[in-house]
Amino acid sequence: MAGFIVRRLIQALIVIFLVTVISFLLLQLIPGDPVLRILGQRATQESIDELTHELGLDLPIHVQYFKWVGGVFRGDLGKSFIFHEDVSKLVRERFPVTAYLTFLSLALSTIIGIMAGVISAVKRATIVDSFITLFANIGIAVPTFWLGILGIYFFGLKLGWLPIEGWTSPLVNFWESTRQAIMPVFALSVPNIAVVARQTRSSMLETIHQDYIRTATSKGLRKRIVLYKHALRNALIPVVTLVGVTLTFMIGGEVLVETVFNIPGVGRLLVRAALDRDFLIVQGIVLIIGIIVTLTNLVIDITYGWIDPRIRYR
Amino acid sequence: MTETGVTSDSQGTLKPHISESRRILKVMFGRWVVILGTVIILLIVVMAIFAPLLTQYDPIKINLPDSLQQPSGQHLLGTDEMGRDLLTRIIYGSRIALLVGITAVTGSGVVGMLLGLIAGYFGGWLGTIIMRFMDALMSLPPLILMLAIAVMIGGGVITILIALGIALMPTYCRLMCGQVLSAKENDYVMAANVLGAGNLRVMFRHLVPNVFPPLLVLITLDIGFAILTEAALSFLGIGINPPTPTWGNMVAGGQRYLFTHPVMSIAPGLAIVLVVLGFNLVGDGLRDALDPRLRGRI
Repeated sequence: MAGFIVRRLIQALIVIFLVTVISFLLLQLIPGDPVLRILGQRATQESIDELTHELGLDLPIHVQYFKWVGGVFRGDLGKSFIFHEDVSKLVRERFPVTAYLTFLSLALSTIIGIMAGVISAVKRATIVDSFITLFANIGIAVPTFWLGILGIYFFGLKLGWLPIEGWTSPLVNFWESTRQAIMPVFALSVPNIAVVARQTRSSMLETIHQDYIRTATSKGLRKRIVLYKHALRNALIPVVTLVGVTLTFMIGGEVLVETVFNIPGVGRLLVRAALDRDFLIVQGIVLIIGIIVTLTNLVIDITYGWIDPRIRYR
Repeated sequence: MTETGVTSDSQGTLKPHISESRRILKVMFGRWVVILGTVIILLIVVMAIFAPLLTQYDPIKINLPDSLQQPSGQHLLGTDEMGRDLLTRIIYGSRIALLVGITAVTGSGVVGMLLGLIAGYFGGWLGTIIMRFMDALMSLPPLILMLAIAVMIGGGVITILIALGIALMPTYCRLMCGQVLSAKENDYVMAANVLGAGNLRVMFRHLVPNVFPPLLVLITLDIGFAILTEAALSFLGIGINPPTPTWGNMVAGGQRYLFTHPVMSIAPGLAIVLVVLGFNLVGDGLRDALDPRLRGRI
């Protein structure tokens, strides 16, 4: 197990190193002089020279990289020119909002997705199964942003049940916060519920056909015990790895949902920065998300190896 | 697991090839959902090709006197704030959706598979570098990676294609690498090597045709995903911008008139759902017909 953890740790470190390389290279994609693009056309020669020097663009590219990475490790992601503030500060302020919504949606979609998948597999080829499969097929095809807008139209504008935008911290006003979070969390969750449900269903169906399940049934165990004690536990193993993928997609969806519902999180900051071409914010957020996802995958992998010893030797 | 799969595969090739593809088609189209998916895709393709014949209106020309009309006999879905027929714009929007979906997926499929082939066949430090690089790309949500690339290069159809291509590439590379790793242990690969076939010949004549089926499934499923992602970017205003009609930017444009003209946002969104559903249903059908064991893995 220790060897397995060390191997995975080294792998994760390499991936994080490459994430920094990718984020660094992003700025190189900007056609022309990035300093001019960052400062705008009306910049004075003095400020251009200053920023060129500050960003180290007068240095060779590998020196530039190490200089930048050194800054990153000290938490320095550069300064935003639209907000005139440190990128790391801007992200840190908005991070709890995004993390809260992502956590709620992740929990919701994993729980509902697994339940729907198990029901669908156990009641295979019945009306219930067809209904869940149909829902799952549509759920994967529905754009998150459109789902949010549909929600705003029906539950916000037509029925007036829920607020159509905004964000309140659950620590300030829990009731209002929950009312505002219902639609965004729902819009974020639907596609992922569908993905988790499909995965659980097929993995459950595959497990049911294994020899040890037949053995358990033939030695006279009750169907419930066979299904939920023997089959489900094993069927959930591949679903665990899916959590990493789900998280990745959820962070992508966060960008859309925060825009639709006007929620002051990292996602909306990213869109704002993208529209205003505030490159350093975009670069910083890409880097942070890459590192968070890699670390999450590391934890999931280690958990996976702990639950299922076979994985450690792959 | 792969060992048994391989034996049954090599036994299957004893039968004439034509009956195998006929079997696949029969299994696929024996299910009504696959037929439904195919019909949807065909409809969208026809819409995209014959767009000018299907409607008498111009999708881009501004006609302010007719702005914001409710659905009527003249304008089946009404008009937008510029007075353009909404149905016309949805019909023309299918062109961008299909163009982006199919081109980006093919491009990234080819590049990703080549890299995966190299990584899986040669292995070593080159393989490691390629695969770790793909891990790094995969740790970024496709939408965010695309957004970042699009912002840096600066909008437009070509940029979106490049960004989508890069964002989708890792899946192909990984799948191809995994497939090649297990396939190259087969006797037929060794036989080809012994008989003096060069690396290129082994790779493209022997390995690629044998590992291609799951990749084909992935390509079909990814077209839907690519369309969905392009729509999301255009919705955010970072993809393909108005006046070019794309379903994504139409949903965004209708948002301001949601209370009075909900159809402006709802209708283009429905078009996205339908076309993505179409490609997903066909992709699922293809997967089940080619190899049901792939279910849950792709």
